[in-house]
Amino acid sequence: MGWTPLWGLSTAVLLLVSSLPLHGAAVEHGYGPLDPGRQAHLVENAAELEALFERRNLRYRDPEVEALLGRIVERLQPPAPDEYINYRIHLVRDPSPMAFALADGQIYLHTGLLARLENEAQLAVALGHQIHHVAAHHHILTYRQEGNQQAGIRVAAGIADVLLMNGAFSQMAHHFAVEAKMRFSPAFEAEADRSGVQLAAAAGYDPREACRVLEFMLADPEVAAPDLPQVWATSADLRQRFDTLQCPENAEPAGEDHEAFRQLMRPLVELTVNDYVRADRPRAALGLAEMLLRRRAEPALYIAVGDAWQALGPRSRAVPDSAGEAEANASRSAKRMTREERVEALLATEEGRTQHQDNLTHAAAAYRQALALDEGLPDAHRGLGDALYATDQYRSAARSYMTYLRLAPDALDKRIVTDRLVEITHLLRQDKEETS
Amino acid sequence: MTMNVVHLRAWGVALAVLLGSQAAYGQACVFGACTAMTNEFRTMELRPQTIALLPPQANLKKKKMLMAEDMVAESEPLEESLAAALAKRLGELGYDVKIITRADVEADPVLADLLLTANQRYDEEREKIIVKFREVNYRRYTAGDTARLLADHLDVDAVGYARMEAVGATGAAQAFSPTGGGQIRMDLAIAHARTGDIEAFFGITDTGGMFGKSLDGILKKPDKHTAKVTKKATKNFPKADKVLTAQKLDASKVRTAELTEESDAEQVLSELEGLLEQGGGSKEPAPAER
Repeated sequence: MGWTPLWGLSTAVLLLVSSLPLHGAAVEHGYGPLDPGRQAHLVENAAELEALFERRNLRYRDPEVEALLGRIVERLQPPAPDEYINYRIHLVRDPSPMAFALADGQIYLHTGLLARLENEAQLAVALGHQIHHVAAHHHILTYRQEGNQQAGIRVAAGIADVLLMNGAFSQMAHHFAVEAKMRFSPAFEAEADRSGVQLAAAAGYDPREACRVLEFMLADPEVAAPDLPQVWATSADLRQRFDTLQCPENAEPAGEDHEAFRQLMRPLVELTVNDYVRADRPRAALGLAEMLLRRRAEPALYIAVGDAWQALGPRSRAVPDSAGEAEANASRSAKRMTREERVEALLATEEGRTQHQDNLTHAAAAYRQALALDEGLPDAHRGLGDALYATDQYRSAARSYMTYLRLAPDALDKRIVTDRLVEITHLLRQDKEETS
Repeated sequence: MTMNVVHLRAWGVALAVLLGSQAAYGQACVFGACTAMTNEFRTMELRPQTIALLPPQANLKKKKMLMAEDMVAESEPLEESLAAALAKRLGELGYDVKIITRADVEADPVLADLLLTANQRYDEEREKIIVKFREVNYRRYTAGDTARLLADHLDVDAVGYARMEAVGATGAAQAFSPTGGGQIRMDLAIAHARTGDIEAFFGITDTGGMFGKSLDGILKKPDKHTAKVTKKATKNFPKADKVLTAQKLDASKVRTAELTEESDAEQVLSELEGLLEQGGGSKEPAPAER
């Protein structure tokens, strides 16, 4: 009878005691200096990781975006209480909406995060959040809090994962990053949220934009049902963070620099949708492309939507749990199957075939909408050709492919498209012979 | 009676586990050497002559008594040695090898993009290849258009993906670790420009004898270690034959409808124009077998 309250009380006391050093350290050090001591390897590893990201070609370069980031950081005036902290902002090519920092001041923003943002203020808030993690030494404090042994085991497990996955950049980035920063506690995340907003506000940015950033995260299918561990989603409950910041529902963006910002980020947006498609995560691609299309109806975004519909193949748009049985089964065994096998398995069912036709119809419609806005877009013709070819409309597909090759005679995929045309030529020849 | 049934069941389960593990052992590329190639690669219909060796990816881990830690910076020399060892070995077998260096990638943004996506796609397949490498024989794995685009861009017949996972044990770990010393795993996959499929896969796990691989040994002599595992892994890599490969290539019709190396896109377009005009809006031909 009395056990539960007693247990609860003792747990509360234990939690309080265990949180004291952490809380105390945060208060004691604030943005003051902190000797990394036995955690100096966190700083050293961070420098090595910077070189690895470079070597593995994971960094994304865009001088204009990098210049903007530089200007924002300058405006934020990030505190650098220690010599080993030297702020460098890098872009990582990864479509997931994520950012992370390392103990030595490196801040990595995923291309997928930038693609979702609407204005400079939102970027400032995201940067402010990461700056606080660095300046308040959250890496070192977390490591100390968790204890070397536990952290060591986690690091080893992370490395084992990396070795098993071997090289897939997003997994590697996630594991390295997550292990390097070791998933901050909800308290640290909330602290970084608040401080990020304060830093941004002090620099003259609208602090309400923080709520918009969290709103995007909450609306994103990748965060709702992530394939990979998401720091944004797992480090602390997003809804809780949303509430902690006392965000109003459906906050309106207040920035004035939307148009210029969006123009600057446009290549990143297209890249992000493409990266989702390439990574076989078409639901996220479609969700993102449609979200951006709602903001502005651009031909390139219609193409992105078409690509995403096409990449869905025989899958339903809904997540597998709520989708048909065939897809749920395919999803369960997806780890063991190749992409082609998953598609074949779904196409073997009536449900999958119907879904495939529907998705291709949506894709073709999106490409046609892009062409209605600008008929000289090679990628729209190429996409339309693929959608028509996949629905056995060979003559129309051939016309689309031919237009594509005329509009983009030096396209990288010229040989692939030509192969496809050769195949169609064979079919038409055969058809002609049979008819005559 | 009940006891007998229980015993029988227990033996049955044990036998099933044993057979299952044996089957898994035979399928997975985790111990010793593993070689697999498609029939077309074996018979030279899809045997490349020119191979672009993509920058290898190596991970080096320092194995201590109980824990292991990653050695990020130290893995770079391993990658360089592996590229050199593979190029030398394939060169000896008669292939024209193009090593893709970091400088090449930095100088060509298109290549950087293609390389990144090709590596991602291959790594997705590699997870499955490692578990069932023999199914490379049946053309189960593909890097798809990512490999085709990359090979076209580099103007080669095939691209080679090399991966290495090296675990170097400290002296204490070598002597006392319950799981033994270090080891080096390495594999090379070849994807052909015409199919994008993984046409061949060669792997090895070199346990380094009784005490395993030492960290000192790997760090001090990366060239020696990579050369050794490369030679072991590619022991069954067939020799190149320029003449025969060219003849077979001409005669083959694997997956792609027809050769397009020589086919002029304009010629294809012009014939197709004619066919479309003649058919002009008539019903579509029967679907192709895909």
